[in-house]
Amino acid sequence: MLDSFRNWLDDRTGYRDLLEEALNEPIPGGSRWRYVWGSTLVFTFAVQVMTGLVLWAAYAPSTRTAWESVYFIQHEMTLGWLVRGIHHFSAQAMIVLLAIHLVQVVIDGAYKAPREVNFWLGLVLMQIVMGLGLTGYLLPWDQKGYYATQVATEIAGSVPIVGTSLQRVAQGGSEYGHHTLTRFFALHAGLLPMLLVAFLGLHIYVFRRHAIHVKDPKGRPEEKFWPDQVLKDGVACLAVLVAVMGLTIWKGAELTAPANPAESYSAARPEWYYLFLFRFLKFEWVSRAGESTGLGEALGAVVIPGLLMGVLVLMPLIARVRRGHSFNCLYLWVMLLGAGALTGLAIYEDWSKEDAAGRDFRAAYHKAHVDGERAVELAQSPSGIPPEGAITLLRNDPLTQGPFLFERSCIECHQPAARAGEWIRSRKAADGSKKTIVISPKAPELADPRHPREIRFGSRDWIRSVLTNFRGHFEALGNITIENGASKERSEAAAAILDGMMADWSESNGSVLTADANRADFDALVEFLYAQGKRGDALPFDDPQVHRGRTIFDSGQLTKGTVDACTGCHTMHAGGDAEPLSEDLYPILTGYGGNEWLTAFIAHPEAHYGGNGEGNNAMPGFADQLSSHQLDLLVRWLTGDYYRRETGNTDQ
Amino acid sequence: MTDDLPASGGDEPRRNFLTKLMALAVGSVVGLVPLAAGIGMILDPLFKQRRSLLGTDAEGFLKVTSATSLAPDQSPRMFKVIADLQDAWNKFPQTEIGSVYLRQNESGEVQCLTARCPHLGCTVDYKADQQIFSCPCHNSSFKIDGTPNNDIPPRGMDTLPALNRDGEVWVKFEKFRAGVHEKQPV
Repeated sequence: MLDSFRNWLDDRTGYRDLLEEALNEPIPGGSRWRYVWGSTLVFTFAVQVMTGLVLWAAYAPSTRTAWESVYFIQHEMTLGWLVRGIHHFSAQAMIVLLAIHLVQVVIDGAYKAPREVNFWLGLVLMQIVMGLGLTGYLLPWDQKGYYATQVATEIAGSVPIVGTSLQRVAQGGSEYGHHTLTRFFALHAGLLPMLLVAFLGLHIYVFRRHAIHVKDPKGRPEEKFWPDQVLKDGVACLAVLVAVMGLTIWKGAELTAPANPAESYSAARPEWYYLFLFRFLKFEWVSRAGESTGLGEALGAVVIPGLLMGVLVLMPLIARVRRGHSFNCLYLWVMLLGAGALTGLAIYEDWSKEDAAGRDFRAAYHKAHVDGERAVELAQSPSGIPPEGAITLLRNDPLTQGPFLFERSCIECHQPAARAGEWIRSRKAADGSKKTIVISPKAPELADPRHPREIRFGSRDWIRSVLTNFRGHFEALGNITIENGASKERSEAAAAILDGMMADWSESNGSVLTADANRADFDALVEFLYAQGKRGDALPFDDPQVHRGRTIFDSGQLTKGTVDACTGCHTMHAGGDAEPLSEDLYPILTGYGGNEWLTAFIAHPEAHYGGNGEGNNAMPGFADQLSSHQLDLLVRWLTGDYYRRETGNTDQ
Repeated sequence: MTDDLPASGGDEPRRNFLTKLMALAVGSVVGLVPLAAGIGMILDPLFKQRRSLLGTDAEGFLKVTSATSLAPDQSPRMFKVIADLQDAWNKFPQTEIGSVYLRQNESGEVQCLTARCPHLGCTVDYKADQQIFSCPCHNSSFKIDGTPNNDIPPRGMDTLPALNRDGEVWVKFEKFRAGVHEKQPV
């Protein structure tokens, strides 16, 4: 029954001949491990087609959906991380295998007549695979892919005469946008794979036409492709698969923060197999040569690599002359060593070199990583990804924007102790020489943007320190002097704070607060003040401890001894109370350390102290330097008012 | 399939058989692992139930309109159903998710019919002049209470639970399978 069906099928299709042709190819000298490389490439390509189609079914190419859909694949869909990881690492495996395949073919002399055409077909395939890598890198539309690919399109744009048009066509316009993604996607999933299939078909057809190139067939019996070579090929493919799976599970495919044209990314690097070219373009002489030849960046990025590739193309012809083959082998090794050395140099400079550029790269890489994780955390938060896209998540996130704004507008005065000496200014001395002056801190440390989840300002420790060690706490205000460039008004205000009533209060009452018998009272007073800011970990207003603190704040009565009541000097409308404890006294402590209090303080510090220029204005107002949105982000970062994952190890 | 292949070598048939077996086994592993991962991801909708409608009350009701906007003469009026929608990665706040016909019957109860045709899912029109519902796709026709007027639809228009809560009309919006006799939630 089965036999007659097979006979019928063979009669109609001739499948037995096809199988015979495909599987029983004779291999003179027997199967060998050195023949596996071509098969591993076909295998990885098949894997790319399989995983690529599945990813295609979940990917949405537009600037508002690309990152979002990749995030969904990576973090929400069944096995999405695995499929994306396999696709990501197989792509890189393909590059490695391509290089090995090329070396194998050249050192074995398999590129020589009559196999020249097939060698050239192989070089075309190499270009297509490199193109697939380049186009695929952009598709997640994350910071890494966005900025790395911009370099590639800028290079295209630097080509003389046609450059601008070329860049426009590639990008789908003068800037990156929706059409950049749709075009890159069409190339990555449509045109390039189609070309690859066509050229691979030709490559295998021509390969079979000339049969396998055997360097030394003598001494070993002939074998057939099936099953001897198939088994070796299979084992090699298995090794590739194990490596790819291992990398997927161990490292996983990365997804950095959503691409943001306004947010620079100093760690932009191409995929590792383009690093040699990236490093090559960093040589100044390459740029100078480009400038003098009128080719610009295209010289180093297109013309020189093109010429080097050209030699590769000519190899089958070079092999015809005496010692030609030896030259070819030497050339290839020199090329690979050169590329390897440049790659190594690029990696060393980024990851190990102790210079400013290296440190900047590592800091930027770290930040991109943190931002990427934060974007995912926010995407998974109950508010989810809005229709405007995930880019708004980080843009409106206090934890992301607050440290940035702080670093820009606040840190020079509010220096973190751990980073003292980092802020310098160079001044011209009278004799014309340059002098570097270390800027001293002028206000207490509030936070270090490098550790954005640890805020000193308004914490319980901060409150304790203000109450018991006021002068020490605000010591840095002593640097606000006319000699340091401060105005008379500001320097006087700073001096007034350090010599003021609160400093005296702290000096005379601090020991009462810290007395052993009053420990619980002190804690209660701190807890009462801390509760006013309504921070996430504060006790509720009706907590007995907060209540106790409220009484002390109002009366100054402690278990042992008394302090001057706070209500004697400060306005306080305690949270949960209908009536204020005290009014029209400055500085205002109502809502101390909370969003409203801090917003008002940063915008107009002097108003907090009782009026225009009348009160204390050691700190300048920021109402005109920060937009209300920026102010809100800065404040909510400092008060810890932002989303945090409830069960995460990164938060608590 | 293997026995279709012309014998190769032949000197050591046993070794050859073992090689074939191993080649097949290894080939299957390297082929099936990525394939299985891909199939697993494609079948994601079968593994993961994602709640798509947000902002309903505990029983799944959504506020659709106020009772005063219903027609006074018991004729049906179409209303859009608006809810927060979770669609894959996006959360769309207050977006249109479908439409319903609401009418008040003689005893003042609110009746709700989904506008999705039970035949093949098109949106049904109401013809006020003939007082019938008519589907523009395949001519399904229904009476004002949703019972079929012809044999094209497999069942009447699907009713949805509706409540008048202090002058607000709340509807439990659901979708049902089209093309079958029984009313089954999707």
